[in-house]
Amino acid sequence: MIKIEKLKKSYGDFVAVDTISFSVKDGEVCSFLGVNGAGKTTTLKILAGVLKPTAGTVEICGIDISVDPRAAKRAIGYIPDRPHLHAKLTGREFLYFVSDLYDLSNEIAENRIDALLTEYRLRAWEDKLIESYSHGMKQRLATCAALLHEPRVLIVDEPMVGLDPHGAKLMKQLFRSYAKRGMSILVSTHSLNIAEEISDHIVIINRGQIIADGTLPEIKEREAAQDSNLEEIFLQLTLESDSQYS
Amino acid sequence: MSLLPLQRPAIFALKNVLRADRASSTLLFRDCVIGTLILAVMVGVYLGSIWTLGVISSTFGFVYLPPSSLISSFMLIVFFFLLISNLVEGLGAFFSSRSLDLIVATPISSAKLFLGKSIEVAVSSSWMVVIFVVPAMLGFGSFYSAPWSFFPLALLIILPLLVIAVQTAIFLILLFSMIVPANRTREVFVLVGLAVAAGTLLFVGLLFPEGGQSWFSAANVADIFWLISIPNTIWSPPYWVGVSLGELLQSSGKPLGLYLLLLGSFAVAIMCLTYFFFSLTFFNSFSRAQSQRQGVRLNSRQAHQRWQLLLGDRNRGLRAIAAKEYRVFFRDISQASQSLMLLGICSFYVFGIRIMYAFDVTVPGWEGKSWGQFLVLVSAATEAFIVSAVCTRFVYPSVSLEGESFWILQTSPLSMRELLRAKFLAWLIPVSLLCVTVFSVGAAGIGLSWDSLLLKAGSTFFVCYGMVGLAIGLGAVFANFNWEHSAQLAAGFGNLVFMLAGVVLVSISLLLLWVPFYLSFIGLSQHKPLVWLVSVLASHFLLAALNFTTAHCAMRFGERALLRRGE
Repeated sequence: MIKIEKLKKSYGDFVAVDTISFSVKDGEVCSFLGVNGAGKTTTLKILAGVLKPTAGTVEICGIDISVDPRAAKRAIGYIPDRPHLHAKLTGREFLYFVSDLYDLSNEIAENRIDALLTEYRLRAWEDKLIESYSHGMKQRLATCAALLHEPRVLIVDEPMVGLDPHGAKLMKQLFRSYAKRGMSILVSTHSLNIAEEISDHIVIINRGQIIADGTLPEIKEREAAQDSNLEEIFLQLTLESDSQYS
Repeated sequence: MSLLPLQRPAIFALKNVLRADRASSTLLFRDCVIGTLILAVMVGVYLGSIWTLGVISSTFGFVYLPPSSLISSFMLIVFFFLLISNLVEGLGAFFSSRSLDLIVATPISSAKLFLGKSIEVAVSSSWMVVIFVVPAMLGFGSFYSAPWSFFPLALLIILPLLVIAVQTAIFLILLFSMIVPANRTREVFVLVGLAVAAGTLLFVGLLFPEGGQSWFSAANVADIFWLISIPNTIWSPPYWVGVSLGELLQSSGKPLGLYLLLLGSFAVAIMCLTYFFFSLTFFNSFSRAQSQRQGVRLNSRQAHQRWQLLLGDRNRGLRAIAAKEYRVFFRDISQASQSLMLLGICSFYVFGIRIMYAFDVTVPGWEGKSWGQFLVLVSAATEAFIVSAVCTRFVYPSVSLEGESFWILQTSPLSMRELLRAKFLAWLIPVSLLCVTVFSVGAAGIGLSWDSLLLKAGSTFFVCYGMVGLAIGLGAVFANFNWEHSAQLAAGFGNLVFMLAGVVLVSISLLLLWVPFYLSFIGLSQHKPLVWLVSVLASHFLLAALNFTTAHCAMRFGERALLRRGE
């Protein structure tokens, strides 16, 4: 479970994330939507332990990430929007590297690496240097690395960028199957049709503030837009929010 | 400005740094402190070169040693380092730079691309000349009471040597990458390095067929000067520089104009030739280097099992970092090709020390003291240089080499302290092993006793501990994760700061090691074994304390700096 309370992140005078609160339950896929620069990636980086919040708390499976970052990070799998991986390692070596970082025993690591490389169709490439991988292959390898230690929370930034239709389908299946097993998944995306397809819960952020939080039917009801799809609601909400500032 | 479009981002970046300095008094203060340190090192080099020239001139007073010989030999060493440094930088700039895809895709003319990249290579690899060669030349000028015109002319004369070093390196890179893809060039470099080392051994063996220590035991001055005069061949640009500068210092009737003409025309000729070669071959080589990336297939499982055996299973965090560091080191072209430089420095040290050991004279001003004692000081200074060079080229960039993959470590349960400690241990072991081995070989070569060798090994380990810690710590403080190519990291601003801090640490360490010798020198501990023992133990204890404290403080600073990146 992910629980965010009054989270704030400022860079000098600029407030990137402005006192937001929401939660993602166990077994839930939550889509985190927003225009460019809305504060999505900053929020996800705070959740993944890359950035320190200016104020507020983040709890991962009941562990405050500021208090015990090591325990919280053991529960998290993070897939960034741009999968920068160590180019001079092979795919399998990279996974060995990650398994050692998460202190997995040799036997467990070996079994999980074999399984994940097969599931993500990377077996033929496992002994080649990552620098020779395509973007989609790197994205799939980053996904393998995020799932290697069997996290209870998955944080994904723009999962569909650079994926071919097979890869995209695989990713959607992954979200649903892992959610069924009780994993909390927070996905930031611009692909509103995919968000609509996979989400149990939607959070929309604009200018660092949350402007919608709930299931799609709840949001539709709140906005009195039962006949609209997610894209129309998203555009309407963000435009309304922007007009308040201008 | 449009003549050099590739330099515009660097100029803008410099402007932004200056703007930031003006806006922040902390940054301005930091840069002033670093500027003062640079100045202090330059003054140190200046005074050191005057002192060395004094010792050499008094020691060999019985033989006329023209300044041109000394400058030629000095310039040959400088040229060697410049060439290797340019090879490493050039390989990165021409074939591994991240922006190359974008640049090659634009309709930029080959002349602009060539000139832009040449300037990039020259600037990033030539700062060593400014900090070390310029004050050394000032020292030469002062020692020989040169007229004021010597100083600006010296700078003008050295400039073509820089151009020659840069263009020769680029030419060699283009030639190699035509034969083998640029991403496999490191193997060629390593092979060439080994061939050069084997050739040198063979050459020295032929020169002195008696072998062993007796190579130099003849103390035949003519032989030794013949050896020194090896670089002074008519076709060598460092020789042209040496003669030109020597003529400015002490005229001996050699045709100065001819040498200047040779130097200038050779610089222009090699530049034109390299450009011609570049325009013919670059695109093919670049394209081949990109496509060859597909071919490498390794046995990851077997290799991992070997690492597991070597690094054990107790600390998996350390194993993760160490195995990755070593793998990247052997696969990264810039890192691996820099080992050639290391090989050169180590050979230079061992052979240099052995050649100098041949002299058996009394050092002037050191009544009754032999050249051997002076040699101990010189070898210690050279060793300090080697440790600094190894740490500068290999250890300091270690944190920055994580590059944009740093998020993997940030999101892992490994704390920044554990990360830095793992990197520190991963580098301390090979660096101290290398230095202890090479320095022990050097020390054995100048006839140190076993107990002295043991002490030397201990002190070398302490200095390596301090320097590796300092390199990892400052590497984290000045971490740059957005580099164009990895060779850039060793030429960056942070590395300069590390070098200066390293010089200070090594100087204090040498001073501490010198104390027992000084006490013996002034007669305090002579024939008093207890006083000698206490002084040796105390100096080594202080040396260990200094280096341990420095390493731990530097890594603490580094840890804080990495944590601040997430704030």
